Amino acid sequence: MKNGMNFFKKGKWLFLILIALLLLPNFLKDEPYVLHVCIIVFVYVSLAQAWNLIGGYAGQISFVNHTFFAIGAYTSTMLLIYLNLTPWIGLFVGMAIAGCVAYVLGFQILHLKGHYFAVATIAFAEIVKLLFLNWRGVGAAYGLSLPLKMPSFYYLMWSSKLPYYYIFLLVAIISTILIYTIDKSKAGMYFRSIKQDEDGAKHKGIDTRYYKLLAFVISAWICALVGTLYAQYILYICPRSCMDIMISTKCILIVLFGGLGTVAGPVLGAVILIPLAEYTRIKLGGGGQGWDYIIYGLIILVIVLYQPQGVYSILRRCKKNVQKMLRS
Amino acid sequence: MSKKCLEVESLTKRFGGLTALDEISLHINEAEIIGLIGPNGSGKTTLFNCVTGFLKPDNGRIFLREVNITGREPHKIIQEGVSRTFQITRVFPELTVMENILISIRHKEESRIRSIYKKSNRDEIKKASELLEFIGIAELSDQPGGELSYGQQKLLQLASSLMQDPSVVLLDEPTAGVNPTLINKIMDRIREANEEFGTTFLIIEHNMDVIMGISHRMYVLATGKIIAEGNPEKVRSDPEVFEAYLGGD
Amino acid sequence: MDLVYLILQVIINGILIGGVYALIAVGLSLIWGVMEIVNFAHGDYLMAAAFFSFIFWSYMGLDPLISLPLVVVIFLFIGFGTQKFVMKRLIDSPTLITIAATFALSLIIRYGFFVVFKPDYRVIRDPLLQGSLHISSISIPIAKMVTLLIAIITMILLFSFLKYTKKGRAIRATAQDREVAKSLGVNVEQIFLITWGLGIACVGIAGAMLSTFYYVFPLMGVTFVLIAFASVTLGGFGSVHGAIFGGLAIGLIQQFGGTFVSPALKDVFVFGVFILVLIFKPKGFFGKY
Repeated sequence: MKNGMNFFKKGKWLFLILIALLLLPNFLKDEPYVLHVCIIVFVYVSLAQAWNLIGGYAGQISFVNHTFFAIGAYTSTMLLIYLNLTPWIGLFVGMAIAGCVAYVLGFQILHLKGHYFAVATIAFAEIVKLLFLNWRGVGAAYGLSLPLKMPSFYYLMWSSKLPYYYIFLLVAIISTILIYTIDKSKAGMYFRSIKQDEDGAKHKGIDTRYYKLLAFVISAWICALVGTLYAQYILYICPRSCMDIMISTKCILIVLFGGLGTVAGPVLGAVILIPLAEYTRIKLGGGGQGWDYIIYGLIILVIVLYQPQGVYSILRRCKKNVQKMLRS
Repeated sequence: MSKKCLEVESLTKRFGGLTALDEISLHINEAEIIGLIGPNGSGKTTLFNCVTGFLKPDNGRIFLREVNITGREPHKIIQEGVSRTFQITRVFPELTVMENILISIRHKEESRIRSIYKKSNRDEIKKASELLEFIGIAELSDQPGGELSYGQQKLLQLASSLMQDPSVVLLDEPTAGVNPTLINKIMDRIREANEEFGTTFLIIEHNMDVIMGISHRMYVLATGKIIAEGNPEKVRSDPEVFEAYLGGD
Repeated sequence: MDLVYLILQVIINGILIGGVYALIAVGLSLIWGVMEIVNFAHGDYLMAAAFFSFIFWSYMGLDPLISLPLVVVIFLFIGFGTQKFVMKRLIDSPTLITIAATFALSLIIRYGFFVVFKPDYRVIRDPLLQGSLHISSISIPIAKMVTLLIAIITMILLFSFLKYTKKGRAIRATAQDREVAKSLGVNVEQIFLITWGLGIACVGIAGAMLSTFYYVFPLMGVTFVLIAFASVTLGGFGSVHGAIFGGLAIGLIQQFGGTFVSPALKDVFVFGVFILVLIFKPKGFFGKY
């Protein structure tokens, strides 16, 4: 009974936040930039949840998530340019390709432990980036501009930012719900056991290779999905922007900041860190280039040195203390 | 003659020039408790690792209920019904006590795709609670495994190894580093599991009183060979065993 | 005949650049082996060292070769500082935490220089070391040759230090088994400090020497750190000769791929070999010490 009440309370809060997010664009009609920052926040909530699955739950430090993101972006864009295919189909093709790449790559390197897996993913990501930088068919270093179509749902193109806002909000919510579901599921339990003691998990009869691959592939799907939508939003993709390792790195920083292996962590991290970085960049103008990264670096250093559990654990502790105070 | 549960047939394992297991043959009948003793470095844990597939034997075969399981992947062997615990406790520190047991269900029958959204079902939770009740730490079920005392972790390992209704349980020094009261408790649990559920055990143990008291039969391992076999009385009076312990250590 | 000269030239280029890679890799490898930490900021320490040389040259007129001892001492202490103020608190932390910490350092150093010096490329003009040695149609740039020489001397010194001194042996013992070393009375804290100092000093030398023939710019560390990862993995972490082997091998692979296939794709070969080694021989060709 008491649990039911708690859930209702929690649900009510989430419902209020959702209503606020749905109504927010009404107040931002003259502030396209703020709307843009919101969209980027949603993008990173989704990408960070994807990283959270493979890194936070299954404990495999992947620096290749931006490659899956780029595969999504490039696939749908190429299909749109050459076959005039709707991105709604391109989106699924992109996810399928990213999933296959993740499966093959994961099959080869997921047995590597700790640092080795991390550096192997970096090497793979760099190879893909270098190949794309030199591959004329995909625009090489110049990248691809998306052909401008009639603004429509069919082409996933609109002249205003508003529809994008709702689409990215939806994707962020879906990926968070997905992670929430996995968090509560048996697979979530297996992922966490693999992270804590992989051989121990094998000794419980868990097919650790299968579950690591599963986490990797699902993670790649989310990234590719976001990649397609991002390309539709930005209308221009190139290896230097889409395959920048900083995309994966930012995800890691966001997850670490918010709280590793928690559902709320990536949301908290993205909501705090992305606007902060954007704000510094704006505040310091053109000369402020680079400051956002310095601030990221400083925040992460402070987090790993003093609060490696992330901000979410601070909030949880505060809540506990408040409850204790209320009780007494 | 009762049915054989686990059978090891001339098993050999070498590490470089060192022969850790030399043509080992042994068998365990259903619902037996077998003690495996021997001086340090005699190959007991290596034998466990070979049976569970974590080491690939160089020679020999292993049968579980007449199915050849030699060379299968570890998780598949565990899924066939071989449970195992460790000398130094190995619980998942950030999973709760309950989860530590739930994780040991028999994974063979579960749908791996559906596990993404399915939670542990009522039967599994009921069984896990019963096991926690059985070892007497039911009140700790929501605590993280890492916060248990060493002795409690040993008990938790035991309970967790029983979760999948194993064909055979391999226990590696279940009482090492545990106080005498708890040793008795652990041994009582093992005996009870054996009598009530008919669980088969193969136990490595250094505490002679304990292992002699509980085993139906024993094997003695020294430098990779089985030097004696039989009921505890016979093993106790075997001059070769005496020699191995005095000469070995 | 031309092909023979070309191949010879490529081999020489590979060895010359491989020496620098080895010098960068050896510091990374030392820290990796002893601390079980992969220093993602390694390339940025390299960049910082190159910038120090550049600053000494442009503000005080000191040639990088002259200011080299200064840079080495500075980086020795920067290495001490890194251990003392950051890494000391992270011993026995999970892998992700140490990766994040070194990545954070990397961002701070890289973009610190980026903000101060802007992203421009700089060169040191009229250095002491210029010109090339010509042997028939093969040319060997003097700066690179001296760099290789200094790299070799550094490696020999480091190798002897690890092999013949008491502290060096303690470092090797710690790399093999920290707990055993501790029980033998090794002051592990001090060993970590020395390890970081030496590792960063090595990369300091590499950075300073690099500035004599390479552009100096804030983002230069990015590619070098990846190449250093590749060298260390190829050679096996935690060993001096492993790093030398790895560095030279990577240098040769890069030059051959760049010359005979495509200059733009030279690093594809490096990373390709890197992944293959990780998959098939994850311990590298030479293990720990």
